[in-house]
Amino acid sequence: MKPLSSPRRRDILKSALAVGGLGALPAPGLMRIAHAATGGRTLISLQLNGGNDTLNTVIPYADPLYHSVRGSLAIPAANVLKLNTQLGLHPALGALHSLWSQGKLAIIPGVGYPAFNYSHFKAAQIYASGDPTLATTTGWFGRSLDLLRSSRTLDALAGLTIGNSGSPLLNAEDVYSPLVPASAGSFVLPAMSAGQAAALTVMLNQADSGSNLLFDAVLGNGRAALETVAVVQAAAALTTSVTYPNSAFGNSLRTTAQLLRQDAEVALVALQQGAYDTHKNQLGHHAAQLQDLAGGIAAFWADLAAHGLQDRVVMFIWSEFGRRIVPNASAGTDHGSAHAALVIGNRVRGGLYGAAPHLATADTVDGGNLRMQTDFRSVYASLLSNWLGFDDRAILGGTWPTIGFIA
Amino acid sequence: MTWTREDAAHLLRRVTWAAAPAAELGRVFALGRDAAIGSLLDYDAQPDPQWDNYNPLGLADPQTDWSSFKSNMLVRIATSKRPLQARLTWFWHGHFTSAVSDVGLKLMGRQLETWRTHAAGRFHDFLLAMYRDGAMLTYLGGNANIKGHANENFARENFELFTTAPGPYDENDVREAARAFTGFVVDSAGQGQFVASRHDDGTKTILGATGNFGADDVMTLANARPETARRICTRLYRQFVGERVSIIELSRLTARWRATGGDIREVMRTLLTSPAFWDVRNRGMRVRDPLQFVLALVKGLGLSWNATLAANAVGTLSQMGAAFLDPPNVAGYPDGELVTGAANLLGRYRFARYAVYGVDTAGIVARVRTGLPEPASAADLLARLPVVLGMAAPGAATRSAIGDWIGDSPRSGTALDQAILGGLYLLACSPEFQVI
Repeated sequence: MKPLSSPRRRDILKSALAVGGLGALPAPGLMRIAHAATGGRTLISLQLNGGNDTLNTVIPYADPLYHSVRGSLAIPAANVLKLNTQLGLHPALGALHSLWSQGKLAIIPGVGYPAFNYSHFKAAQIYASGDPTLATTTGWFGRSLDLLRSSRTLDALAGLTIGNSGSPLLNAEDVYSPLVPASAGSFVLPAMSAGQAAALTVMLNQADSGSNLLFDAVLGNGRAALETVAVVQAAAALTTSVTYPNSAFGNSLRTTAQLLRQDAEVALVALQQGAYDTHKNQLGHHAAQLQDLAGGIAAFWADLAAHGLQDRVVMFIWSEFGRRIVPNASAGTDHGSAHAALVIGNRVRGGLYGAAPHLATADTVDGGNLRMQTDFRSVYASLLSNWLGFDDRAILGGTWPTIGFIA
Repeated sequence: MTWTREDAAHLLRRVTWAAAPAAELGRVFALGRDAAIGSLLDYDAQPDPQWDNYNPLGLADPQTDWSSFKSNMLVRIATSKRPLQARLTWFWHGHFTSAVSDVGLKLMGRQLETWRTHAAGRFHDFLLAMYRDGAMLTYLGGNANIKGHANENFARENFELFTTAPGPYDENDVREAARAFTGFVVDSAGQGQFVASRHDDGTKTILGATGNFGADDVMTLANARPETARRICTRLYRQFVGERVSIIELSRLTARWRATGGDIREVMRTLLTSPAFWDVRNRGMRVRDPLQFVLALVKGLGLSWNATLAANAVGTLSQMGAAFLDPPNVAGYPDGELVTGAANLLGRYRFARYAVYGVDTAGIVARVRTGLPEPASAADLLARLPVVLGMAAPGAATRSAIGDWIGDSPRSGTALDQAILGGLYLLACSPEFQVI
């Protein structure tokens, strides 16, 4: 496929807008977005960082091959939280199993793309951009915001990353989305006089260079900071009776809930959790990551309920890849291929979507890795179109069949 | 070729931490271009007592207390008498990455020495040393890689990130290389040791060659690939020149690499004497990484390192997106646009506020005043303050914003002191100070 964008398009798009043209952006899509963006719906992307071991997350507990191949890394069938007669969740995922029982958890067990890339960074770029050819630098969230911005004034917190550095999901041609730290209390301007603050504002609002993209990023992100510090501080002051896990992920979810309460226009949020690159001594470490995940989501979900916000949110949980079927000799697993994506929400139609990958060698790819069952762009198209009401074809650069996990 | 004071400042900004203090800039300018490059690059004879002192801050428990360890390491890097070696050491930290939170203080301290020792040496020697490095063996599981089902972690990252980059190898090469890397453990001194009984001594096929290969053989095979020269030269170009790599310049670097057997110092010399490095169109086109921001500001303000300042720097670096000695993953620290996020910039502004107003205002004011008339106008301050910080002249919008804040009437006395401090604060927050 052609790149969905190139680094220079930021300038080209701007000049197109300046002369009143919208270039390749399809007018019907714009109208749809302008209408739907008022819906106040939020999509949260949560990346399980490092490549989550799918086989020990959505576990084929009834398959004898799983137990024989995984050996000491296999989760005993008796401990698995059953989804049906074949699959079950890791014992640490009690909170997710509870959502499953309520019909609020959709599982797509075999997500991937043709010709897997086993590099963390390339695979993460593929999922962030939506382009398996690695030719696209913008993210699917960023392009969504560019499209929104082309038809309406965007709230400064319409898209955001929570973490320590920017997320490629929100890379955009035209929109700089703020990076907010997990503990939002530190998201403040240091002491400065009113005159100094005014001078800083003027400096950051100078005209873009148009030629030095990094200088322009400093301007755009600096403006994003100035425009959002007040609302983020107001959000950070909101209290809740819910106790979050004492972890970076717990903090980032608390901040997310506070921002959702404070700002009805928050639409796209990028989160990360955990250290899933379990090359060695996997069992205990992996369980601890999943414990943090489930504990955080349980608290977040309760917090949303306490503030009447559950209907507003869909959370999409993914990882850059799953892990190898056969363990290595250091009681860990090396980089793999297909992974199980999870979608949580009151407006989600719970259930399994698409087949689970098979473990038999004949059914694997690249010498013992899980075969993809569902193209990730179908998952994105479903979230964009059926949840957010966005023009998925414009954002993904093609037509992908949607999946019915949004009610 | 002309050689201006601004050229010397550009050189110092790009390959050291700062074009400051003025005396240092003057010394480098006086040397002329080629001698200036040589004085920075041919550093082996330069004594470096600042680096050799492991506890420059005189802290308690510098070997076991994490915060003391980090503060001391920051100060050693900041004050080394071989600034280009320190910059390259930091560059290699981002290349052959490991993280202190994974490997601990002792191994991290040793790895800093490995990076520094080989910073401008032959790349092949560097590869052989890195595989035996205790922190590397720990961080990427080389110490858990034994014959049987080999742990592929190091083998994959070694191809992808350390040598060739994706292209010339496939999944089978990764698996076979992992077999060849089997057998190393970390001894009690933190050094890699080979244990023959853990090594897979069968035949492997790697990058088209077949034999009973071990770790050194994989490194030699990978080092010999032209993709490795291209990858390392590209990284050096991006680090020191800019994001858009010129094919012509890159081919000059890889030719030098081939002619010198992968001699990093000679490749650097070619790079620093290249037209692209000096091209004014390439200036201001790189984001100062968070450590560069912190160290440039401390040098520009003329602050002396103490425990409080170092601890504040280490703490704020996390907010800027670069937790010190603790990169988020094996690809090293994020850079460029990814460290200009809103929270990262607020971290920079916060450190600027602290460095200007919270450490030594009297000393800063005294140093700046020596180059200023009194009373001093906004124009006087706008001429003097960027030079103090080692900046290129800021653009019209920034000059006008700061000029308006200073006001029309000339300042003297304490009003001048406040204008000096406030002007430095605003310049440190200015978009121009974030790029080099």
